[in-house]
Amino acid sequence: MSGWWRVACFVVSQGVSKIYRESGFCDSKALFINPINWGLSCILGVLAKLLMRMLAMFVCFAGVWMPAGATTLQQLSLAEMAQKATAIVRAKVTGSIEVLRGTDVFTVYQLETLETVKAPNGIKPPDVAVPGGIAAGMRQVVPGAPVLHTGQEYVLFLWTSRAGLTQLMGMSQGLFTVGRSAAGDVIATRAAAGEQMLDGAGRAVRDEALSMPWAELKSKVTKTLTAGRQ
Amino acid sequence: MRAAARTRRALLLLATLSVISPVASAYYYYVFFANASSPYIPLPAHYDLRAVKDSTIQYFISDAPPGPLLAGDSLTDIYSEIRQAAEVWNGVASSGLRLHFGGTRNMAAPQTVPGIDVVFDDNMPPGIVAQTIITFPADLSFLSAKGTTFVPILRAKLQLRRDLTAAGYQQASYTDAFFTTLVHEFGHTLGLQHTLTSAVMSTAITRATTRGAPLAADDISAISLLYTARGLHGGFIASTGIIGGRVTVGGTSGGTGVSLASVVALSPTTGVAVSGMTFPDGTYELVGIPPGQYYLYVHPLPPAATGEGSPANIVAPVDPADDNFAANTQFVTQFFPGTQDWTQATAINVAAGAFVTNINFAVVARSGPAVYAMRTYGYPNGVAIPSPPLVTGTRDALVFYANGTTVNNQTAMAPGLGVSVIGNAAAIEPGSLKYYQQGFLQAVVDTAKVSANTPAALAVTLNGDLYVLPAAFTVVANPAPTVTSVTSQAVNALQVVTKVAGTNLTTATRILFEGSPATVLFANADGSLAIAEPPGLSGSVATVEAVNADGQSSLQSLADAATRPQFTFPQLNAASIVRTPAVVTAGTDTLMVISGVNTHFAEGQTVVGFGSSDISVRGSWVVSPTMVILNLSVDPAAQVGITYVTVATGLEIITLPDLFTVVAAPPNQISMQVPILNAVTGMAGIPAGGTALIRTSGLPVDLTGWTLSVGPENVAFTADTNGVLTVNLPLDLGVAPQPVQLTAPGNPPLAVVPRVILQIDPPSPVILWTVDYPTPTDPTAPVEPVLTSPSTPVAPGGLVTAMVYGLTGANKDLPGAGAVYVNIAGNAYPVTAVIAVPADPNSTTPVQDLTYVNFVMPAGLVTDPTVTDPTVPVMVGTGTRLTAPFMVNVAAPPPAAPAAQ
Repeated sequence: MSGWWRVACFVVSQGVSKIYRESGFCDSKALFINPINWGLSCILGVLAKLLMRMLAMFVCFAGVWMPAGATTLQQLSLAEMAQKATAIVRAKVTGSIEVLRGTDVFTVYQLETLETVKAPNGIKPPDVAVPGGIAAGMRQVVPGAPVLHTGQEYVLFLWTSRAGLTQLMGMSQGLFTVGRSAAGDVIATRAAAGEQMLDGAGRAVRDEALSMPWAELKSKVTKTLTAGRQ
Repeated sequence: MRAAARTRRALLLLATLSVISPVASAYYYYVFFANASSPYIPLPAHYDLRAVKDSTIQYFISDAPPGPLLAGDSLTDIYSEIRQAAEVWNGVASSGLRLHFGGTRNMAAPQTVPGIDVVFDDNMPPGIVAQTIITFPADLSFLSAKGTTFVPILRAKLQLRRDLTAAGYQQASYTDAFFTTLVHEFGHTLGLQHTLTSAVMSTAITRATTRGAPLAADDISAISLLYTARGLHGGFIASTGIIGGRVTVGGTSGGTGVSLASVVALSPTTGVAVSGMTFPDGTYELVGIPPGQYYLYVHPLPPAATGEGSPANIVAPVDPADDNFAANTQFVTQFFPGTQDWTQATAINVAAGAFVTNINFAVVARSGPAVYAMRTYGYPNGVAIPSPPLVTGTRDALVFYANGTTVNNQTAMAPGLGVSVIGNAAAIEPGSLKYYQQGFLQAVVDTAKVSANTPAALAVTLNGDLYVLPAAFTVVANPAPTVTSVTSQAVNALQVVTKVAGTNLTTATRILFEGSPATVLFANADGSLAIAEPPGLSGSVATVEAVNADGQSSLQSLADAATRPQFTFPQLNAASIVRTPAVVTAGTDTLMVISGVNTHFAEGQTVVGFGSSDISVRGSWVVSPTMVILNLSVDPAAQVGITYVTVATGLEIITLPDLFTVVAAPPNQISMQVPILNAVTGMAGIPAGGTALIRTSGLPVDLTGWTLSVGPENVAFTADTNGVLTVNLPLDLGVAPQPVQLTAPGNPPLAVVPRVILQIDPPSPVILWTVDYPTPTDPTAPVEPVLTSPSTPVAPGGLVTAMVYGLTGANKDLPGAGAVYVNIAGNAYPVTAVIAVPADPNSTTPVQDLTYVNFVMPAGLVTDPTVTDPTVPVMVGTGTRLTAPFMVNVAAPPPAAPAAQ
């Protein structure tokens, strides 16, 4: 860990009462918040060192809901998304169709994969389904569902269900818009979580907008995946 | 003269209201525009209540249950919380929509009638805890058709995760968060979108509602305008006010309209906040504001956060071409008129039925809000509570976070940040605002003396911008209740009740078992309560919570969930149910009997569902703890096949599959239609000796040989050309639900007509006389009641007392004022008091069933000054029992002023 991070952890962790496991997610009996002491997770390890360069203070306790629209979300860290995703790609949307699966309408975006970070058996995902759309005489709205644009590049953290449907993780949590800096660097950007919550057990999640060079994001993810396999 | 002026104002208001859509407070809803340009005609999406029976939408829980569950939780607990969350919306009297628990359903079975499905599914990607999917028609071409007033919601699905123990998704059913999330999601299924007033339809970032006070004024306004109630509970629009104007950027006269700006009416004294959003041209109308004084402010929607598809995750309106209208989020928040200092804001007086216009805003452009998404916490009992209750007359720490309020990687407070409390309910101690840690700030709040709960809003200023958070905390008059133990209490040698011990408990406290209400029997001298718990399944465990009328609950500040009070239902033999008949026919109405073993059915508590929105319960009667009888309507397009039956009484929820079959209707199927109506009152209850009207379908013209029985007696009947049977009921029929059987001639009969239930009521009550209380000419003389007559008519707005005989009915329990209504000239009104006429202590005759019913004579009933001795018909009713009209003399309006010469 960086010296700065060590100092921060040390100062904040003094006098803390905390009950959680250092396993990448937090036990349900997490932090108890009181006006005097507040502990924080210092389990980010190597990944944290890299994240802290670009992100503002990132305080992570898993298991927090992030109600967003008619969708209640769980805040996922970058490491969690990397671990739980079945595929991670940089891709361009080439088109879309709307389909009915059972009683649910999905807008399926076709992907032209430009770069693969993670893929099941090396197979590049051909598309990603987002809930909502118009099909079979029905118009379904799922507030919070992102809209992808044809021709736009994205970094996508994807998850394929047992039923074989590939979707974005955590609504648009797993969606980074790809642009280019003035110098031509590929930059991946995602909106801030905008969520700060302390529940009765003192769990909290908060972050700022995430924007970093694609190379750096790819590196972080790769290292997380590598660490997970060791 | 005054009456004429009132008449003109009333007509003007009616004209105005007829122009204003009652849903002009747009974007609470999913909105579609009939046209792509001004004037914008909003068409909100809502259920078509004409497509369902009794304006009731059924909601179902999937037959694929959740699991695994957290230790100590159960399916019954979860289902109880779901039911109670739906009941919150049923509790809005001014809403004409009702929700009914339809029980367990096989989600693969197609449905024709609209409904709501609650499902548990782990095929949602990681990161999603719950989502709501709303289905509308795909083709929007009807939007511009003349007469279109709304877009129908065809169905809605509320999707929760199945594994409720998975890391990150742990959801304990007894928590406030689980409950308010359900209430919030149900709101979406009914057609409500987000607001930013800390109401239940706000996201949990700012939501300030609790189990004890689950809806805010904004929510009540939203649902009441979307599904406006008629009759007794109608008049929401007339009892509330409207504020309208326009928001522009670049100057009021030459400025550009600001699209989807949020305009909020905030009361500095009551904390009530009602909001709406502007149309694309910047115009707005806030409808449904309770009377009072308000500050008005306009603010941009906050930027879309991670996981959100749009600012505040509000779905923008679309036009017939499917083009949507994006929100303009780039301007500075301001109070009216054009200030960021709330102490300089103009207090706007809102009166019932009044329309305050030209409340315009000329906002200043800005790249985005400096501050947004604020979350506050307090620490009662050392536990962090969001939007906390702060006891009156105390000094409290308030911790908060908001985007933009910190700098230097969230390690310091932003320079120049200012925070103040709007109104007088509390104040922030000067100099107490400072950085706390980890991006949080803190301040010390001094609360004022209040006698009732007062939500307090915060105003945050920074870098020339303003942010307002309604209900940032609530100043409460009393501490929260606590529950320390749940034990048994012997009342006498034979009777044992349940005793709930704790603090701040009164007979007005609600005691909830996993959200299901117990009956408070009495208060003990030590402050504990003796209660009767709701029915529950043998051996099941329920978390017990106390909720006071001020909205505070005992679980709100519980530090350790493991110490929450629980009750274990006694071990009994398992409960089960059987039904008769086993088969129903599509397109018919029919009687159904549910018999239980070891059940505890209770009137007013037992709900029956049949797992299909095509099967509606039209009436239910609990005959005994082990028997309930029902009237059902089966839609003609109901899916043929087997479906579930679910009977829920408190926490006693029994579901059986394969218990009930729908079969297709044979050609020429005949059916009686429920409810059977009283020919005099038009309501679904008829006294013995009264006249019943029975509607039918498929009845042949020639009814030779047909017989009709009501209960045990054959009765004569006549039929009109529309198949409506008129029946004079025998005088000796018992007061009870009675089966009605229409039998065709022949052996076997030419046709089989399902039986239905007819409600036999006690004899109708009778108004004996009415008095009013005219103001005496001698101001020192006492006010005396005077019989109403042509010489002593009732003045508009005057109090009237009616002496009513027979109001209590068969059970002799005096109904409360809320259960009695008065119908005056065809409109229903509430009563102000219901008082039993005291018995004469010196008389030996039995106590008569006599009741005083007080009500206020409304104004405007008589408008023609030339009518001599005008009267209005007055009827008093309770449930389905209504008196005959009693003519009451009312004062005629004064003659019009002579024309000027």
